[in-house]
Amino acid sequence: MKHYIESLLHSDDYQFLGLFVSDKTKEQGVFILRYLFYDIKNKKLNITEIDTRKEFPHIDIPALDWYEREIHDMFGLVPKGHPNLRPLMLFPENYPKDFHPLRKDANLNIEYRGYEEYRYENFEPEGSFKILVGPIHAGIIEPGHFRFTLNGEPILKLEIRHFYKHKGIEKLAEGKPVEFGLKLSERISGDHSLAHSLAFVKAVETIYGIDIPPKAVYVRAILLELERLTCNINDFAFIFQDVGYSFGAQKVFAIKEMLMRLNEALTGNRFNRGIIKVGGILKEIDLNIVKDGIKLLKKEYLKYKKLFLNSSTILERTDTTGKVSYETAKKYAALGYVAKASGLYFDTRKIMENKLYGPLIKEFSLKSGDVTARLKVRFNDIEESFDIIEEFISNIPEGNIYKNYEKKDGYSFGFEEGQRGNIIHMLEIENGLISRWKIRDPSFHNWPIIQEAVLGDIIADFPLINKSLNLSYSGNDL
Amino acid sequence: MDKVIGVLQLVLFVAIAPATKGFIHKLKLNLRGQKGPSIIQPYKDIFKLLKKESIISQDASFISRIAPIIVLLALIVNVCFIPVFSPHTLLSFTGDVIAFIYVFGLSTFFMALYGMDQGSAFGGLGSAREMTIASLAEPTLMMIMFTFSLEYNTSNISEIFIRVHNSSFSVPIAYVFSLLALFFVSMAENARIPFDNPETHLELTMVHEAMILEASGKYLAIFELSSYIKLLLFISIASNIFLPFLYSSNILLNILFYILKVFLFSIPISIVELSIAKFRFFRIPDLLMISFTLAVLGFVLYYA
Repeated sequence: MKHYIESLLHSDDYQFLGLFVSDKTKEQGVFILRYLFYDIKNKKLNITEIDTRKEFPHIDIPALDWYEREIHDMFGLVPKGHPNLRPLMLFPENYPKDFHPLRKDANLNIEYRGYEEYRYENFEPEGSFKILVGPIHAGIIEPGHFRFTLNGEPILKLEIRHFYKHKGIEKLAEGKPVEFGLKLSERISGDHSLAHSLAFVKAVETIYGIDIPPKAVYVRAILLELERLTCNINDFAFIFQDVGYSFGAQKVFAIKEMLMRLNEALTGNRFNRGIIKVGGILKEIDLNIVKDGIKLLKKEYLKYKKLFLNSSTILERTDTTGKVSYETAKKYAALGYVAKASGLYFDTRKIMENKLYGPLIKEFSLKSGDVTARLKVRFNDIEESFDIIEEFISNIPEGNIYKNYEKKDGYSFGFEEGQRGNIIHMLEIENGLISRWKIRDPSFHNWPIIQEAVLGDIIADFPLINKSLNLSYSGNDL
Repeated sequence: MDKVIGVLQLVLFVAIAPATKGFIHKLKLNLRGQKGPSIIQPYKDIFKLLKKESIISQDASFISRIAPIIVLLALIVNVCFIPVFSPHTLLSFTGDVIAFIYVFGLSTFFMALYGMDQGSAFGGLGSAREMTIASLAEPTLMMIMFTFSLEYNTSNISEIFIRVHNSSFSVPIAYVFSLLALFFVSMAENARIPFDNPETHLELTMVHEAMILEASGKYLAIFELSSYIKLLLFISIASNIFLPFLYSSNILLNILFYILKVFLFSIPISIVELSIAKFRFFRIPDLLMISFTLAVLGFVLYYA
């Protein structure tokens, strides 16, 4: 079994999507591990299950490192032969040993006290020094700890430590109704409210066996593109800001603000929260507002895209900075624009839902893997979003906006392409209540890549590289 | 009477320095479509900081207490060398061109020491970067000063300024090159784009700000005031060489003309900062090399 999973991980025909665990000790006496792959050639999911009571095989590939450590923390299952089994989420400074909250029999009423200090990697070549950044940063960003080993300006090594604000969402949702889960899902990651809630309802709808009406499918797709557009435009502005070109940054931030106001006019919420419901959407929305607004924004955006691509001083900063090779992307199973910029293409919309999008999405990927490439992938995404929104608004079918349904039990996956890449929600419903909910944000795959992307660059360029990857702390820190 | 004018120049200089910074900032913000704080905001900042508590790192030595004062005093001494609206300066002696450059170097030196003394990782990083830039900018500054010294056969700053305004420069092209070089050096020394980004909050990219990251309260106020004075020093030199003083007997008119010149010469700084991105750190030596080449060209053209 181990060799089979290994061969899938190294194959170019399979995209590794995640490792999901359920505690089935009560029913079957085992924990079920599900390795989820997408078979790109045959266009289908490949789920490999392993049952275990205590141990499971360790697979030596960076893509699985965090998963195995997370499972060790949360379920107390041991990846046999893992060389570096430090706690990932349950910090040894804060939690007692042998505390595994996601086990069904976990006792949460314990004294929360640590037992040792976190062990960082020991790397001190001669003549090097360390700069420790975070977990508290200047500016309004979330906590993350970055340890740089430097030799002057060049970076020799970066070690990251995250999960300072682990929210315990997955545990919180256990035993709660689906409606509660939907509200929670909108709050997993602020800028991806809609993508996460869509992934969640898709999982619910697969379990319930609902075919949602075509009009709702279109409206959801339009709202999702609006969210993608907002995030991509925001990233674009931040790249301007981090190369020190504040003129471009302010102008592009203005476009983002207009988009958020458009969202508010549309659904009453700047993040489009509260519009999705199981079976469809909550209310009719007036899409004519979008039609007019989007043309104006596209014109504005194209102006600043041109400005960016014609400025030698800006491109000088972004070209060759923060390179991620195809091999690196592959071994970390990178997702979203990080993968696309390095030649590894996976887009949930194109590959899993091509019927809906068709030729509106091109298989756009680049080879160079630097800051410029990641931005060019975003440019492509932005332009595709504009096209999809225009096309869908003019072709929107008439009919109901939601479908009534009967509640059922079962388990399923929900997939959605967020702006950062593929989002997966694995959901198990028992007696009408959530019994296990696992959220996998693309940042969980992409965060460790930053440690390799900065090698060969200088410390002064780190913020720019970080911004070009623009990974989510909150979506990661569940 | 000369001394009175000298003191008046010094007071005026320090008084309008924060407004210059405020003006550049306001202009920058307006040009990119933001409203921005008023130009008197830097004064408010300084008064606010003076009222606040100053915290010094446990690892800091006496350097952290004296460095801010030395930085400010060195810059004030430099202001005494520079004719502001009249050639009667407080300090004036043969060879003060060289004194000017090295007193300037003293302030940079103590600034860098302060950065390292706090024992924070960012301070050391900032100091290392500042010294890289300063050591590359200094030769250019000397070359520019020497070009003017040779042209007017004096190494006294006040004399240079008087002669610039009484006679026309014999090689105008040399004059243009020197001023271009001076513009580069001013951007580098004052931590402006493309050398440094004065607006960033990202510690890892900072140069000047990284050194004073640990400063607070009155120490930060002193550093802020010093940076305003430093900026105005360069603007005053450039504007007084380009546009002569008004030799009017009415001091008030002279002062008004000077202030007008300062604002006029602040405009290019805002515009350049908006039109290009900050350079990659290892490109900065190239840029300073260009400015040195310009300065040498000015110098050589004088002989040609």
